[in-house]
Amino acid sequence: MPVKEDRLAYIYLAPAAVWLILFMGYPILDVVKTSLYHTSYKGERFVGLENFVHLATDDLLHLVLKNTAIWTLCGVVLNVGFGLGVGLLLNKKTRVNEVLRTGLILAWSTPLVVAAITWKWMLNGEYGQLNSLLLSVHLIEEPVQWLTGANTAFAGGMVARLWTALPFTTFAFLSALQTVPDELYEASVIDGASNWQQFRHVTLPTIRPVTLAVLLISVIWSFNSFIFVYVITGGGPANQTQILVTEIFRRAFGYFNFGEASALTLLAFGVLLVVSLLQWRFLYRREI
Amino acid sequence: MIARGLRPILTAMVALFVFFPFIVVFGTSIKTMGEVFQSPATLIPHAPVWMNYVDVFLRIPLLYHLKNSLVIAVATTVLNIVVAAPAAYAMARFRFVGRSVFGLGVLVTQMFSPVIVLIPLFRLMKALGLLDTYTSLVLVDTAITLPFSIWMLTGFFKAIPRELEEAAMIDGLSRTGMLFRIALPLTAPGLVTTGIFVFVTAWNEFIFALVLISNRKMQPVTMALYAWEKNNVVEWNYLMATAVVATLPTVLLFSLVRQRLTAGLMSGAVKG
Repeated sequence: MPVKEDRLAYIYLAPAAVWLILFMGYPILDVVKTSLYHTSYKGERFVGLENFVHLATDDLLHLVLKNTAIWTLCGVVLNVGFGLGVGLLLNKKTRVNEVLRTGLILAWSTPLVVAAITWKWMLNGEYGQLNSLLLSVHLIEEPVQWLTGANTAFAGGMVARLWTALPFTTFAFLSALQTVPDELYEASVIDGASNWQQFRHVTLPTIRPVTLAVLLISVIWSFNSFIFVYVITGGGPANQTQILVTEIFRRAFGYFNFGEASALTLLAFGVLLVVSLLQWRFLYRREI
Repeated sequence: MIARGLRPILTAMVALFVFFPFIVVFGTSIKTMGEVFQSPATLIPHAPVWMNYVDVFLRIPLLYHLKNSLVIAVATTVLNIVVAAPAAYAMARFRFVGRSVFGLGVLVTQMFSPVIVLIPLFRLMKALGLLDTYTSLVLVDTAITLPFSIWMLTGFFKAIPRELEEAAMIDGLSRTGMLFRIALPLTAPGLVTTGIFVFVTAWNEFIFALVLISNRKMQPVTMALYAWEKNNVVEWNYLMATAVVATLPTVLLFSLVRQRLTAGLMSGAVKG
């Protein structure tokens, strides 16, 4: 390749690189700096590693980290499990499936804040439609106060998030499932394979790369998802459902403690960096 | 794969899960306040109040909110494509020193939660005096959507057969000429898909609007929804009417490009 091409490449890249450095790179450096300061309404003052020391001994943070782990793990399991299941279910061209796909697109394009508020309304103990639905089919005999208990509120947030995350996962699995050659299924039927054997030995190997991609993306999206906790549970009751990203927000914009919030941000950044590097290592390196 | 008898039952359950919230939104949006606070809740009201959709424009400055969202989303989309397209073309077609560093940078920033950059960008916008302006949200929304669109467009550019460009090169077309005369026209569907994805992301954006815009008249429509929900007595009927109005544009746009969007988001991952 002639050198001239090199220079042209840099010219093409320059605006994007500048943009990302200014609004993504510089902020990370600013977070590092801010994490070393004590901040309040009055101003800021350098305190070294005090914020980190304080956080390490903060009982609330342990709870938040535990919640974050549960939230992320459950999110991934729900998302990948249901995504694959619904993908398998829809992998047949029928009119009903077309309607369902349309419904999934609707859910996908619904603004997250609309989804979160809607689920909060549905989960309302007195006037919510979830209780009236469950009561009408006698799955419950008394209205359940979903949002007042920590466990049910947390689970409600997870299900709400699943509702918005499911479409992408389903479509990803669907497009992968459509690459499985029909001949393989026919051959496996002739060989007398059971449904499970067919899934295990024909379907699964073909969709493995997509599964890994969806898995890693789900980890990141689930870890990052802010709005469902923020809107539906508000982290409550008594911080019982607070996760890392909502805790960062609370300390920063609830208490204007940018220093501690920045220290927590670095922790979140570290987690995301590790997952991104895994993704790079397993999925994208050959592509670039 | 799934036992025959089970299929209809599972399909019905998934359909219920997917559609139920829409029925709730729509049903609530045409209720009276009396029926909103009826227990146990009704799904579809006995006497639908279509006037809610008119009233909501009178109760809050909804037209302002929609205009704000539109301005922010359009500006973000245009800026994004102008910045992302050349970068993606370079990633797809050039070999140069630092290529994989840039690729890794794009990948990592794509994984950022907005929360990661929320505090520093709030501080930055405050220092620049840009709080409560469209500019702040456009700059930030462009930044958070840029990695995705570079990634998607790179995939679309790679899909153009090299032979086309080689032939053009023999005909004496420069690289830049090739980008504008060959690559961009051929990836028009990809540009539209990416553009719509960016538009919808900016339209739906919540958390930056929450901290960067506090002047009600400047708030996008997502904030208007949230404002309903924070009232002491939540007027769920008006809230849901607002939700329907706020969701219509994104639903229409997304359904246009659904197929290509999934392919674009998964590009790279699938082939790996």
